[in-house]
Amino acid sequence: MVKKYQLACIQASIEVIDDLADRDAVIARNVERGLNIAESAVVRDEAKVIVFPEAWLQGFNHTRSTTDWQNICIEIPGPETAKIGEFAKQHQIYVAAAAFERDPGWPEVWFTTGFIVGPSGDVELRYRKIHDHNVEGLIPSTSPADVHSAYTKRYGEESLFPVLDTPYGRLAMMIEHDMNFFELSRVLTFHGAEIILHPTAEDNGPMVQALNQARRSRAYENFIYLASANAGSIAGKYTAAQATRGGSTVINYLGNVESTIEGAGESVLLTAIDLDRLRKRRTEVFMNYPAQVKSELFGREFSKQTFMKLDTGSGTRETTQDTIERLQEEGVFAPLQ
Amino acid sequence: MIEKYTAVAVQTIIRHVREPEWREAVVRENVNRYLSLMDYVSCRWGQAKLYVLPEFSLTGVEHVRSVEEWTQIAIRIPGPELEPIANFAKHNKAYVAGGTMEFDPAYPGRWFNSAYLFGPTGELELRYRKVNGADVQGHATYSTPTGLYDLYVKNEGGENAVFPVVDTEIGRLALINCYDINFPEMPRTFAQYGAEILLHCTGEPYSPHRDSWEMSRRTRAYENSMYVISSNHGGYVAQVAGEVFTDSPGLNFQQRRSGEIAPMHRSHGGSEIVDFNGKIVGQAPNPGEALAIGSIDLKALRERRAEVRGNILAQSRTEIYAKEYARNQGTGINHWLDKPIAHKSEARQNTEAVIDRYLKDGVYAAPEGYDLEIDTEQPTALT
Repeated sequence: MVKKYQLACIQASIEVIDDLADRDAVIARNVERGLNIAESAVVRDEAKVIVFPEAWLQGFNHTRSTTDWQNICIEIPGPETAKIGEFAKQHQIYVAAAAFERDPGWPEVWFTTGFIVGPSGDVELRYRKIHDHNVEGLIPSTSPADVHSAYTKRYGEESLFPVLDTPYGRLAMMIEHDMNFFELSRVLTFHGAEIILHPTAEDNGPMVQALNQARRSRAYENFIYLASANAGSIAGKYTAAQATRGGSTVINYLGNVESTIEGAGESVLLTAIDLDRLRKRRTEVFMNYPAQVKSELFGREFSKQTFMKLDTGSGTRETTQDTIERLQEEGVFAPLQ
Repeated sequence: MIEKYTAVAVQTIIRHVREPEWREAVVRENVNRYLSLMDYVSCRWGQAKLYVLPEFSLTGVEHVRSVEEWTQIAIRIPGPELEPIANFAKHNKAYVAGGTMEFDPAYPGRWFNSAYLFGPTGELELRYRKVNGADVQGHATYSTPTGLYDLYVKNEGGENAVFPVVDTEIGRLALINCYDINFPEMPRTFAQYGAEILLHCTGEPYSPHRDSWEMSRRTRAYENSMYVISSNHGGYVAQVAGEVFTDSPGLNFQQRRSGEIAPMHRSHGGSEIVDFNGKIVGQAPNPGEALAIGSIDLKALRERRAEVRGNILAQSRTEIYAKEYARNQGTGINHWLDKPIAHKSEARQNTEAVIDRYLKDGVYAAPEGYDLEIDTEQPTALT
């Protein structure tokens, strides 16, 4: 175990794939630019774990057709992750990112997927986003929760919440909207997670303050480090490049902001991760939330399942709309007058 | 339904029942002060519909008191001590909530850290008993419903009795106490039972965690599209009939008491009303007697819950996590089913046992040089 080391969030400038013909060239440019910046962090600052934003390779274009979304997807592992793997192997480090992914064995659906490439050069962890914005109609992707029965039959339940044990701590991933759902970081903690790498895509808007509070809460509740890497800019035909708020942040295991970038723009955030102190804190009784949580009680309560159901099929705006209407009918939500 | 109304978190200096024989006078003085402050609200600000008082608002707290003495000092809900508060609610057609140490003869040898809510009829609308706190932390000896879970749900009419919610003209109300706020599972479970406005009777000391607790309540409000009203103490004093005791018998360590040796501003105040987007709409930022006054917009909350975008509560997929919670147990239930908790150190051992199990199972990784067999001594914390 390495007791203390540097982690780098790369607040990347992302070029968007607007024209399918440019797909490979755009991905190659995004990867090259990102890894060049990461190389500085590795060589100059001895960073051992690198985190990139969501959509680092492909960018967001919400006018994309469903077919185009499928066509910009990569495979994980695949040639793109192999390229990142060369870099990880060369420097003997871990690189985490999230991308839009197609599964060659399951061509009907595609996922938003986090991955960690390790010193082996291989993909050592693959996490598929559970709380995707598909259920708000923002993106025509699929979440493992949408196809839960088929998914767990194919990959097993343990595939949903992967944790990677490394010399730099036990690494796990959440992607963007996932961070709003406390159950996920709690369950990852139950599975041993110490450092959650969080590729994200957060725009300026009225909820920035709430998101920042929630981010701190996730770390505080679980004694985890939470490293959120947001895009510095997302440049494309249909995007305002600095609509992204930047603000990449690392929260420490006490729930305090360890380091943060003020605002947008291409940047790097280096943070010392003190793994030994995190582990010491976890051995203390006082306010030891992950040990004190009455999980058996909540296992019972949560099995009563009143909110969004599993196995809805690929989520759409209607998935949330139907859930709200059902909750109103069941009386969980009060009806509108 | 009343679409919009005023709510108030009433932050006071809590008087403390240091000696058992002070009980009657101190409780009366605490109650009288609440009544005065609530009257002040109606004189100065106009009528409020909802008042929230802090945790252990009638007797104060005493961390080194025996179970037996607590069962004598704790009050009944409902009971004669709370009658003036019930009458205030009736007279003012308002709702009044608060926390208190409670004794219930149905559970001999035990006491609870509870909260109450009286409504405009003067009747008791809700009684909640704290789920998280002393039984894992080891700072007091009160029982929790989960400590005697099987008996409790049998006596009280089902599992949902642990999470009571009442549907009223001012929204669906639920109560929680203090430390409960740090477990996101609590408000989420209350939300499953329909809660819209969480009344948080709290007793938060100054500590490095002050900021974190404030963050917790704002996050709870945001992630559940829920109002959270936190009423904290403004201070803490051993006092009876208007006299501040200065002779500090707490220095006699043979009969140690925690109340009279606490600094008056042990509590940080900071009572807050947080809206369903996690934003503060009422605040008393400092210690001392103060009022956090804010507007509750019930219609806006219900409209928010009907929106698709960012509807974290509707989008929560608790089912995918239920099995994981059941499988990877933190603290269990039924620890004190057969025998009531006798000493606060028993509770501490609960958490120690889980930490040891986590270290052995690999949920937690041991820090370098950590010896699993050595039981490390740590100071007891006050919450």
